[in-house]
Amino acid sequence: MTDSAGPQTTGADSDGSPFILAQDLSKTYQQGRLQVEALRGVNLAIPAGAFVVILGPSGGGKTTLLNLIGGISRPSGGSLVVGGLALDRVKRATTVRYRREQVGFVFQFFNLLPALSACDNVALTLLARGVGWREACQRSRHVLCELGMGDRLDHRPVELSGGEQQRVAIARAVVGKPRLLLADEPTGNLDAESATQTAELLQRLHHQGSLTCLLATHNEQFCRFATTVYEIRSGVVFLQGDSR
Amino acid sequence: MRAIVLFRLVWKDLVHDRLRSVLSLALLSVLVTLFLLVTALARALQTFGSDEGTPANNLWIISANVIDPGHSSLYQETLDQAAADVRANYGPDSVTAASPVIFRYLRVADRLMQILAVPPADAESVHHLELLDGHWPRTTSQAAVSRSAMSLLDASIGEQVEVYGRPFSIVALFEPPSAQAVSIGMTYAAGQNLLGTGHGFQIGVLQLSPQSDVPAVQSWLEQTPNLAGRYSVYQARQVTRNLTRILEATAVLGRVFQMLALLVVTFGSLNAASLFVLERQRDINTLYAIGYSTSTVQTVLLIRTCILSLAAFLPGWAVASLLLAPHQGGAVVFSSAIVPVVSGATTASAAALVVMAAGAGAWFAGRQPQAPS
Ligand SMILES: Nc1ncnc2c1ncn2[C@@H]1O[C@H](COP(=O)(O)OP(=O)(O)O)[C@@H](O)[C@H]1O
Ligand SMILES: [Mg+2]
Repeated sequence: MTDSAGPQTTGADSDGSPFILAQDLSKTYQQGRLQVEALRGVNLAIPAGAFVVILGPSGGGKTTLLNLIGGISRPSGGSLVVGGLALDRVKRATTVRYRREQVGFVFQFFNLLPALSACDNVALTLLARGVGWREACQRSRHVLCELGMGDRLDHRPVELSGGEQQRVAIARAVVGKPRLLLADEPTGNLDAESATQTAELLQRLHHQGSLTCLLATHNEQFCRFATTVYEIRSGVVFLQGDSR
Repeated sequence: MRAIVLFRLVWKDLVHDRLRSVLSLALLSVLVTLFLLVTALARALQTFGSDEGTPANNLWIISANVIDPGHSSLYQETLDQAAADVRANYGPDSVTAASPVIFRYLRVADRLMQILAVPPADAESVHHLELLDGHWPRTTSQAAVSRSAMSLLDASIGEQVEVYGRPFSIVALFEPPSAQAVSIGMTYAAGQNLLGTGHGFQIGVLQLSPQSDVPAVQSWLEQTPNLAGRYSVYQARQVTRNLTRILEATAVLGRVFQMLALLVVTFGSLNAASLFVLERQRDINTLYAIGYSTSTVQTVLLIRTCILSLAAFLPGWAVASLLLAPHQGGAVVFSSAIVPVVSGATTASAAALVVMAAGAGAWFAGRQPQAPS
């Protein structure tokens, strides 16, 4: 069965400290007068280069956890350090830079901008970093071609299938060569075949670089790719298996 | 991030969402047109019958109890006596001139116009009629035409105008103290010729020396046996004011409508910004997630709203000008023209306000980053 995951129980980075370290992490949403405890006392230690699957039912707290690690929202309690950056304490401008330069996000509903072509959507990441339009497009095209989307560069999201949209979204996430890839139910909205392709694509990208991947899903299929599997239920995280 | 990049992103979005962009633009344009028209009218009403140029040291003697000076009748003896009375009481230098004015409202070329017949020597020095072009009428068949009358008649110096069935040749363009007044000036003799001398003249003007205590002389003079009960004495400005008071309420309403129209334009712009944000919250949250800062997103929103609002000023301005074009001469009320014009300054300040509203909208909307769904 599972046991509670603590920093002492998981692998560490080469210099001894894990890439992601969460200690007693909690997140409470205020919903009117109601308090929703989405995360409770979460402890995680994830080494750089890991492929982590976070498994859990809907409402378990997966999205909340990824949003904290991705610097989109702030913890209510505990500490969270990613790549040496204390996300529970840093200034907002620092989180913006962290998101921009270190994190790639993949969402369940792709979240592509409808007005922009596939290429422009990918370029958004680079444009945010101040890369010029021309260069951003060039690099985006290159990445899209690598992901087999070379003939879809100028298509708008509505002109693409779900699987293709997700590939564009993945390209957008990795074009800036982030250290951390966060995928929140990336196949939740795809048919079985596209889901498998997407999963394999993510695994391929993970193998290619020194990317640390966190993938949240309720689909146990993904566990075969994982170096580490955590389970999350009602805001509590358990270590389920570590392949190393 | 470079502004040009943001601009390009906004542009792609506007083009992608053509229908919505055009609809927003159309709505804002209508609001801008409305604002410019209402402003033009409000301005025109405010300047209506403005007596800025009316000399403060002129006293008007007219029949008691008339509102329209055209109904007044006065004779030379009464005016001379009044001048003598003031000199006797306030010193020989207290009155610098006494001049009669024949004054009527007549229909000229189907418009209500003022006829002013004054001794030519007094036209400028006493009555402050300012000659803009040509020379003052010398004969009984010559006329001077005020600027607004000239544009209503669509005439120019050298042409003829028929007044009360008699042709006059236009020899002068002038501006009366109340600049919008639609007036035709002529010599005193021409006025007598045209309108007959049975009623004497209408307004007796006493020009007091600049040092005079005008209100004191005014109330004293009204009590003299010469005038008491039969004639009223006004400061020249009061007469114009009595006439224009009728329009004051309208002018106030005009100003209120102007403010309202400005608010409507401003909130229209604000509304366009916040509706857009509501509609695109998801995209905006995505931008936050992939590393765009609050201020960048706010700038994007600002650029978008500014483009739409400012673009609306062009068609808005064009339509307003087009609608006003047939009314260049303005509407004439009590022989004073109401001339609505689309003013550049108003347009510019309204545009500035709209941009500020757009800025506020963008700031409020972009201030709260949320997790994307
Ligand atoms: N913005 C929010 N406001 C209030 N409650 C929220 C919010 N986001 C998530 N929750 C709640 O927190 C819990 C965990 O949600 P979430 O992290 O989205 O779970 P999962 O992604 O595993 O489905 C759920 O009970 C959910 O209702
Ligand atoms: Mg979720």
